[in-house]
Amino acid sequence: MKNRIFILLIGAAFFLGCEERYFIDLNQVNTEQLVINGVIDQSSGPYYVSVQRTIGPEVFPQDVSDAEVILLDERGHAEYCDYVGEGRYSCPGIQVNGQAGVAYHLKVQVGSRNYTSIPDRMPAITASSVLDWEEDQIKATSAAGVDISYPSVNFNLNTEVPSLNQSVFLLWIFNETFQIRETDFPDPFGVIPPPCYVTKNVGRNKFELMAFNPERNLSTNISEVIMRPVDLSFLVKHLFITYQHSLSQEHFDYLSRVKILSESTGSLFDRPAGRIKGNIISDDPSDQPLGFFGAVLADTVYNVIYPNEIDYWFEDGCLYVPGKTRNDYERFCIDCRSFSGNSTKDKPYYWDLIN
Amino acid sequence: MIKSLFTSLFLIIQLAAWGQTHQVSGYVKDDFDQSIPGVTVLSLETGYGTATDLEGYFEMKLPKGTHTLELSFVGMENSTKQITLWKDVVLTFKMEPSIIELDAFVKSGRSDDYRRNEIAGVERMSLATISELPLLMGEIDLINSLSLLPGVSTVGEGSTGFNVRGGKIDQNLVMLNGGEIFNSSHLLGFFSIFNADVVEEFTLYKGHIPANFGGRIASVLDINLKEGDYQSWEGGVSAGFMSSKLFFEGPIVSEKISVIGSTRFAYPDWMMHKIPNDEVRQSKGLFDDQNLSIGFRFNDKNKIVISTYRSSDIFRYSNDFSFGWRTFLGNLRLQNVINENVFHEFEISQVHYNTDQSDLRLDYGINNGLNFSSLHDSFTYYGLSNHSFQGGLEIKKYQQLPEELIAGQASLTPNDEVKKGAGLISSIYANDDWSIGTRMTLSLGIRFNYFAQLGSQKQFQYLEGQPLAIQTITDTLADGGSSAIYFNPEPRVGLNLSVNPNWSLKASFNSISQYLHLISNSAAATPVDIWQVSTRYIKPQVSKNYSLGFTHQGAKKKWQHSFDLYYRNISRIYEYKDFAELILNPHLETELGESKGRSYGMEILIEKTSKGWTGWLSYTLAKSENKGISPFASEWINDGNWYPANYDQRHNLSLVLNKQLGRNGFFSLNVIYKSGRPFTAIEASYNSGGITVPVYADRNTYQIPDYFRVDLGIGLTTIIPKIEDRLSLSIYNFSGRSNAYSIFYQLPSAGAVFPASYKLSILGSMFPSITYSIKLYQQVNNYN
Repeated sequence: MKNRIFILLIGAAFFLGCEERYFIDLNQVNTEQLVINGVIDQSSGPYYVSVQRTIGPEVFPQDVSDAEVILLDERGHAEYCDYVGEGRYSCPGIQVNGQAGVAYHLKVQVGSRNYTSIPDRMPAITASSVLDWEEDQIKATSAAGVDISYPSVNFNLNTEVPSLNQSVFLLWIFNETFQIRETDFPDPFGVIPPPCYVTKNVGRNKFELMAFNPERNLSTNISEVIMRPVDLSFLVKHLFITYQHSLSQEHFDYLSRVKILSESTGSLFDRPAGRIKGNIISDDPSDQPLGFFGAVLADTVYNVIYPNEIDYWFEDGCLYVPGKTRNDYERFCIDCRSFSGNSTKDKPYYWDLIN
Repeated sequence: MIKSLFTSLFLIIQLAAWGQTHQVSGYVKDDFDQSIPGVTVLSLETGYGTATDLEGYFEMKLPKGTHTLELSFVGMENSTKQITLWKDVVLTFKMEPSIIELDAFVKSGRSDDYRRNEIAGVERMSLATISELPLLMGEIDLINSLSLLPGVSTVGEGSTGFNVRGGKIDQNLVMLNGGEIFNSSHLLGFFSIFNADVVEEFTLYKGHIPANFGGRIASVLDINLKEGDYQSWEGGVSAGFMSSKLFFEGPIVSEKISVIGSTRFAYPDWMMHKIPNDEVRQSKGLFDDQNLSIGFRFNDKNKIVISTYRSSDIFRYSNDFSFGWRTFLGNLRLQNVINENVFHEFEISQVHYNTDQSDLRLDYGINNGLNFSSLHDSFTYYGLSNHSFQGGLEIKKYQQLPEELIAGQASLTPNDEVKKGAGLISSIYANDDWSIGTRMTLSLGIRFNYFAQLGSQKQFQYLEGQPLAIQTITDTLADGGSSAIYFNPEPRVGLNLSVNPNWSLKASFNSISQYLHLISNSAAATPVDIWQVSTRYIKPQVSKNYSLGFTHQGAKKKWQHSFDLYYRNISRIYEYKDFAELILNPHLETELGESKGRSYGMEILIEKTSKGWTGWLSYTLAKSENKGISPFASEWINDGNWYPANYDQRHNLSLVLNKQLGRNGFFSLNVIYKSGRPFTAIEASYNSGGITVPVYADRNTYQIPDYFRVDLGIGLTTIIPKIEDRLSLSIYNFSGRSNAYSIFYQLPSAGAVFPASYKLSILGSMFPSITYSIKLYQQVNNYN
């Protein structure tokens, strides 16, 4: 017994209690920095700019509501942007319109300090991207160490850029939208509860980036950019929306670094982290504002999957079953807005457009 | 030749005239019983003399009567002994080091007053000293012991290697029997790879570095292993909870062929498997190492020693990741005394070092490594009065192994390989240790290095006048393209001036080039960092090292005090840029920032060497920082401003106390305090497109918590009568402080938005260990 205690003591000393939460005494001046983010695309607007101020490492930044924000293009057009809440400013797109090949920048005044963004030129070319999907199995190991698998739909991204002897820098963000239907309990008026629409980010990573160099690669295939387990979200219609942005190289470099930090896991294999410099400059050299205002050539690709396209069969847990009480159902079957993610009764504008 | 002939003839005639002669023979040894070859033994009355052979043995015939024998050797204090000769005698003489150590030739230990006599910045520790320090996990450890001296530090438990005078760990040349060692640590730095049972002596050159050493800009740790005993067998076993070891040595053919071997195994696994924690149970930490050396003594003038060393390490953390690293070293050393004035040494070495790291979750592993070959030929000449002249030639080849990604079945990453290059360094050198009068010793050296890049790795050409970046690559040369060639002269000057018998002033200057760089993607070195030879774009590091100090020794040699100032100016140093991708990157140069560096500091040591309590107090105040020198702002680290180096440590204090308890007991105490090393903190966070972006501070502007540790050791010797045995009980980190190894960030839970800061301590609390060791000897008669 004594031996065992000794062993445990040594083992515990060596290998346990090694990791503990640690609070750093930070330099307060450096924790408060202005952050300006936004994009302009080739749409007719409005375009949004956010202005916030950081207040520490583990808190959301404060909204800045009293900034003067002006959007400008290289042709000399300018327009004021209005504060619309939550730190966001809306630039109406009346005087300044997004056009491919044109450079845009911001002027922002906060208190006595002036900030400008380095002009970012909207790329003139983009790529054509297609997503194809197939049914597959996701293999995993359970907490108990047992190998398990479950059905999924996996998407592959195929992209081609025109051979114009010019580098192309692309960003993809993958979202999904699906319907959640509440349980249709019998009622005297025969009212069918309206469904909810859930929209959220989906994909192996939060976003994907790829640089195309005309001398090296003009096309790419990224396999399994989305690996989505099949569940009740596929009961009606499941939309996959791919937002593709063609970026300037500076914007691409900035987002590459954001990606590294966002995917960092704290392990030894992580790439060494550092400060991300954007394209915002202050008139006070000691001030180091953050963020990036970019001009992007945007494109959207929709994919839709209907239940009859999937081999896997699953039961609708929200389907009314006589004798089953409300308490026997999942909470979202009673109120679909409680479904995890951004669940709303408002139908997205594209829901009926895509078939 | 004619002169020798006449001298011999004259002596023969003289001896014949005196008639009755007797043989005087014996050995000349240093304070640590190590034989000293090449010592001149001269009878002042007759003028007849001889020199000791490789084993420190001499013999000569002298007439009956009283003789004054003078023993002289450069680097040792001259001594005279009076003998009255009336029969054949066998004697053993002791000599003490004087001003200069002859590094390749004289295998001397550490005398009590070596600090006063050495040129600036030479540290010696004897095995007797370090064996009295509290043990870590039952082991006597060279590197951990050296880190108690001023100017030497480690980042803490769990770190690989050691730092000297504000240098990176790759700036230390670690030599084991002539072969270079590329990772001096076992078990992520808890142990060093050197088994104390077979170490003869070790010297750390941190200031004046003699010209026979080259290739690393901060220091040289020269470790020589013992040669097997040619006369009797000896063996020993040591057992502890974490590791055990055994060694043996003795004659295979008496006086002709000797062997020495040792092996050591660490097995913390069995303990880990008993911990009721899945992560620990699934972890693994093992190492083993072996030494084997065979000496062939052809005659008293010629000797060959063939030695080998191998070691293997595996460290696995749960199902997350694993590291492995292995070293194999082979060395052949030929020594011969050409005549009384010329000693020759020829050495060839081969080292194979490889590492692997595996991401167990993503099921892939990455291998890299290095092959090292060297040839070293040197001559030492003692023919000029007050001079010891050494010259030689050294050729070293570093061949990087390909960096390979080996994907497992469940991996989404394909296999990959990046070929790596090689470098050849040819050096010639000359060094003269010159005793000017009785008070001054000057060591003057020059070394010329010619480096040529070899190999068939892919090389890139970049746009002229543009930063090195993927976007500026204009061409790829698959066959290595035009290789880089560098030529660097390296002057070395060291001075010791004895102001009076108690005070000495020391100074040194040297310029050293380094063609091998350890590229790491983390603030603290790991075992799997990449050793990269210089290329067209990764140029040699060149450091100019200045040192000035004085040493005081009390009249009774009980106390020694030393004070040193140093300054190092490094013309070029390579650090990773923010967000660098260093793994499997064929154009590594695009991810590295070229910087200049400087380190400066002050070292104080107060040492008590005899009677009652012994030990020392050492304190180092230091600063180490780097600054980008690229003409392109995009290549700067920290916006081109000076920033603390990863291994910058402002204060480093060590107190070491030892006391003999009765006849058989001893007690020891270490107290260690170090400033925390720098790290880059997250100062704020913001949101960009739904993604939380942490805002990092300027590089290395924050410090991890300070390090503090108290160790206790107590032991007993000769527990079993007439047997040399020893029981050691030690408590490492008696203070129980959970010292920080690093501060890192991770999401505290799956749904968390902000990364949170955590302190990682490798050793959570105190660590006791018990070790019992025993040595067995074959009894033989001694000479006198």
